[in-house]
Amino acid sequence: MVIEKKRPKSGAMDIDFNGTYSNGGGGGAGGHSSSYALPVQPAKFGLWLFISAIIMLFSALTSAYIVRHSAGNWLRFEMPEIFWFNTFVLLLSSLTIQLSYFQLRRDKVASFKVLFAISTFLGLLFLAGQVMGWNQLREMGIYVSTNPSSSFFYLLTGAHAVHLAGGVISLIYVFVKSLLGYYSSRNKLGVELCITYWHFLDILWLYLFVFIKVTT
Amino acid sequence: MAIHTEHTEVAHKQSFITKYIFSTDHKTIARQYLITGIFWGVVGMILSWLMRLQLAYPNQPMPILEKILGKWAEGGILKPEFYVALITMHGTIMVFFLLTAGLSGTFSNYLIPLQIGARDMAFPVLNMLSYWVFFAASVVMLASFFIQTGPAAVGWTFYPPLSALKNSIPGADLGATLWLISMALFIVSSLLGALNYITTTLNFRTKGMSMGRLPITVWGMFVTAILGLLSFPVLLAGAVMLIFDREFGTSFFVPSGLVLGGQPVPHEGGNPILWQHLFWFLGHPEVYIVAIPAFSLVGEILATNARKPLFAYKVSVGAIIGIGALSMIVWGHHMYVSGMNPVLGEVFVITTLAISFPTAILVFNYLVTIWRGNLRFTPAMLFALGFLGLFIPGALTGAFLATAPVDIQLHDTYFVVAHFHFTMATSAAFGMFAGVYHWFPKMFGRMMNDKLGKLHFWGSFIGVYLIFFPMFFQGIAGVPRRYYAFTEYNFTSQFLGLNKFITIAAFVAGAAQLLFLFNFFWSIFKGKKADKNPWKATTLEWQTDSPPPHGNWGPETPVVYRGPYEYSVPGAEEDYIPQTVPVKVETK
Ligand code: HEM
Ligand SMILES: [Cu+2]
Repeated sequence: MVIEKKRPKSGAMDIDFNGTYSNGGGGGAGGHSSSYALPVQPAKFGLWLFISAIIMLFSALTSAYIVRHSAGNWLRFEMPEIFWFNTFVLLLSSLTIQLSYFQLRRDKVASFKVLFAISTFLGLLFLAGQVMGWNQLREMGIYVSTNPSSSFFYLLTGAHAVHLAGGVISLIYVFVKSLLGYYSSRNKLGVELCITYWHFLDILWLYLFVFIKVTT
Repeated sequence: MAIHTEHTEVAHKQSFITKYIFSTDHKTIARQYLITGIFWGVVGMILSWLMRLQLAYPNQPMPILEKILGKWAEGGILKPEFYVALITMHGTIMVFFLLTAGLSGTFSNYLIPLQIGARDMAFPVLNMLSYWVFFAASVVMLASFFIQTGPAAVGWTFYPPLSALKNSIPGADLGATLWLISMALFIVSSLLGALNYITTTLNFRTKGMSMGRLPITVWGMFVTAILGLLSFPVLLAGAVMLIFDREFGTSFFVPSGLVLGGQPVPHEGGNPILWQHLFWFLGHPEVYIVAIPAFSLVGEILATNARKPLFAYKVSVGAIIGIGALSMIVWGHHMYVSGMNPVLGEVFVITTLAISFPTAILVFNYLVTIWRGNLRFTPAMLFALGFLGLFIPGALTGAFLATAPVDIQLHDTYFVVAHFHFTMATSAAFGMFAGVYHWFPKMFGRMMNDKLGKLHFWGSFIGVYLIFFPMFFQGIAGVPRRYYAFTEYNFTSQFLGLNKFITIAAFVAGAAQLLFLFNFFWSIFKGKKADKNPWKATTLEWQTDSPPPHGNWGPETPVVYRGPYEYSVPGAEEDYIPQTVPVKVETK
């Protein structure tokens, strides 16, 4: 974890443009020395909490899946090939977004933007691919209500897609800000948050994909 | 997220809207939660009066009911469908909207930043959103009262298949859909809150405020937030699956072979028990999400008003953490009669009995805290003592329910109703009242009336005992819960007289709440001005103005030198030493 080195002067009153007091990031309240606070940027810590809530959500869904699967009457179907392609796209986007981060760290802002834009595009491509995959399934006659196996398939992939759509929106937001010249090697928190969340969505997808593959 | 790099030192003006409505100030948000919570408390209480009227006077026309409720009480008699809607909405409103959002929302927001010496929450904008999403959830829930088919009527536990089939009963139609939407919003709101409470506690403590010096209240709110963060998403998962069953024809929870109104139901192969697991995986932690904040407020108030340090602070903190951890693995005790494997049931018996240990330790620590203390009977203190007086019988009866063979007899009887109204409902409400009386001077800068507060306490305490204690006996006699009328069988109709008595007690206890409402709103405007530290307490919030200014502290945040409970320290000038007083080095 990166520890924010710069802190406001001790006791400085921090007021941002909204008229909100802030405690200064990354350290003790009011900018005191941080021996009483976690050495983690609060926003990053908050993101990890958010991620743990999402993990609980998907643990619940997949536990339900296991229970239902073991009860029988489980239609097996072959996932359309496009889901393999989507998986590849998402993995690739994780790679490009990580590379973009390395560029930003070296202050190569132009190549950062390009790689970041590519990652965002790949994210959108993944979503479009998922929609196509669902359409192909429907053409095969496998609807949401056909069998518990298909219900769970749509439920899990749909829930993942919703979270990923949120991720894409934040990528677009950060990308626009980067066009406005916002980020540099010293100011990269927004990018880091996006990237953590994006990798998480990638791993979550791999988990779901393997999970579904093994059982259908 | 409001992360910023520039620090300007200009003062700024707040407009009415940013100050009172879309405010990011944790103190304003706390007050918004409190007032909304009180609103829901009143609604929930009115619903309970309607239920009690029906139970005391079944089939007796009361024309006034028709005037108020229209078609739900044609001829002055409550419709059975509406009675089921009443129990559903009463439970939902009291458990989630009053005792979760109202209680945690108010006191986590108000006390965490103030008691740890921070200027605000970690993410003030998310905090504001948390309130407004809760507000939206409230609007949706309230709207469901005014639709054609009426509000949800499938019990607050929303068991399928009743809740999964829209046409099973009128109350499973649009009302249940709105319930699910409202609860989904509610979960989002509580997650936003929890993110803030946890991050703030860990990251924004002022200089000197180590975890070991946190007031017990902050510990309680912190553990509660973690519980919420981990268990509410599971309910969300269940709710989404239920929405799929209801809207997209899936069969997660609907079993095969169901016949409804002579027609076979198209769903097949679902498992209704699965919902029970998902629901109670949240549902049991939820009861501690309600209880722990109340517990922690009470601990603070007992120590302050007994002028004694909280006994065994570290053990109490450990007990709270232990309760929080264990509460995640006991949910099966709600399902002993669901046909689960008896071996699994036995495992849940053991974990459930295990959770009584940390609970008992906490209660004992509190009792020792007040033992031979120099007690000051403020209204807050009375309610805190009342909390113990209600929680203890509730928790003791929990041990009976936890034992599967006994529970098979008692499950779904009034014994359970009495149990959870003692442990959770009334005791948490008492904890909340205690908190309101105690922190009101800080929140609004004025004192509440003492005499009215004490009257409120005695009316509530006696009222609550008269209402709920007899229900233990009804439950032992086998009277089932959630029934519309107890006229058919002798073993239930024998209690008709007792039911009348309970109903009268309910109205008396309700009248006492009117005293509170009057006292609360009157004191906001007309109460005596409060000074900084009316209770002579040690924690940080009492060392700043009442109410604290925007930003809580002057130019410097406070520095902490000692633990939170230095009361009656031998040799000290006064009987309390605030946390901000430096420790003198002894020189002889
Ligand atoms: C201290 C130890 C406790 C034990 C051993 C215990 C045990 C139980 C058991 C076994 C049941 C299921 C009864 C049945 O449905 O047949 C139950 C119900 C319940 N308990 Fe507890 N309990 C304890 C404390 C609490 C606390 C502290 C709260 C709340 C703060 C609480 C709230 C509830 C609620 C709300 C229900 C009923 C829910 C419903 O079916 O609608 N209990 N308890
Ligand atoms: Cu329980």
